[in-house]
Amino acid sequence: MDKTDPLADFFAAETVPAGDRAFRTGVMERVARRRLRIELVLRLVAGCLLVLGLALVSPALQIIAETLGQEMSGVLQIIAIGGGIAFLGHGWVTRTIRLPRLRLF
Amino acid sequence: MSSQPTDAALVAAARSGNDAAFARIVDRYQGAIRAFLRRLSPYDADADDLAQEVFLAGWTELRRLREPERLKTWLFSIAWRKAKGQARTMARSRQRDHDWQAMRPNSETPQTERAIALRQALAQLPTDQRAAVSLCLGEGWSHGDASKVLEMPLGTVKSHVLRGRARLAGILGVDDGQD
Repeated sequence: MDKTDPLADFFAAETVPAGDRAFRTGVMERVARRRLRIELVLRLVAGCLLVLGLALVSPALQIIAETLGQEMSGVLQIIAIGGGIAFLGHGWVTRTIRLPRLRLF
Repeated sequence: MSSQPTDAALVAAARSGNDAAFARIVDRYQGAIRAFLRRLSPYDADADDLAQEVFLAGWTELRRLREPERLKTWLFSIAWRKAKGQARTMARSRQRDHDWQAMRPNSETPQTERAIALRQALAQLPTDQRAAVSLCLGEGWSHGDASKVLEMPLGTVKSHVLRGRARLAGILGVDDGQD
């Protein structure tokens, strides 16, 4: 702004706090609320997809389990659950799966 | 000497989920954004509330910002769009809210006589003109940058600033500095 500009004094007289902590806190609270809503929606969608996926796959799994013997079925279940947990854990640790951030600490 | 992180660095950090980086962006631009919106809004509290919405929208849309070094211009663009939207909303509900608004203090921040006079003078300008004057005279922006933020042709911005300056000077009783 031109220092010789007579209007400059009027604009310079305005008092807007530059580093207002209350304002910053207000913004960050809104950000936290928005993030929470996004995470809730994402988890809800992920949960629905999981349930839908299981419902679609369960008949096939049931046929496989009936075809195989009782002992093999148990082993398969353990492998499937263990593999799923390992896959999700790897994705979460490496952030290669864009799941909502899970804060444990 | 402490080096301040650039806007691009803060944007990159904020995009990766660093809230402290986004808080620094808020600290860096809250004064300018609030001053701009306060000149466009009749009430400081409404302007500050809108400014918070500007930063919230900024946080939400941060991944779409193509040129992080132009963060300031981008935030002001959001502020201008929101201010126009609020002006339309307020125009519709002005009558309904008139009595309630009249009971509220005009400003929560103590203002000098000059600042009050400026606010009253600015209130007499059309919104587009007020925005152009606010950016170019109040914030020291170039006409070119202001035209990008306000999404107006360069000539329109120049015209708004010229006429707005003359009108402000007339209302405030000072020389407009244009020979």
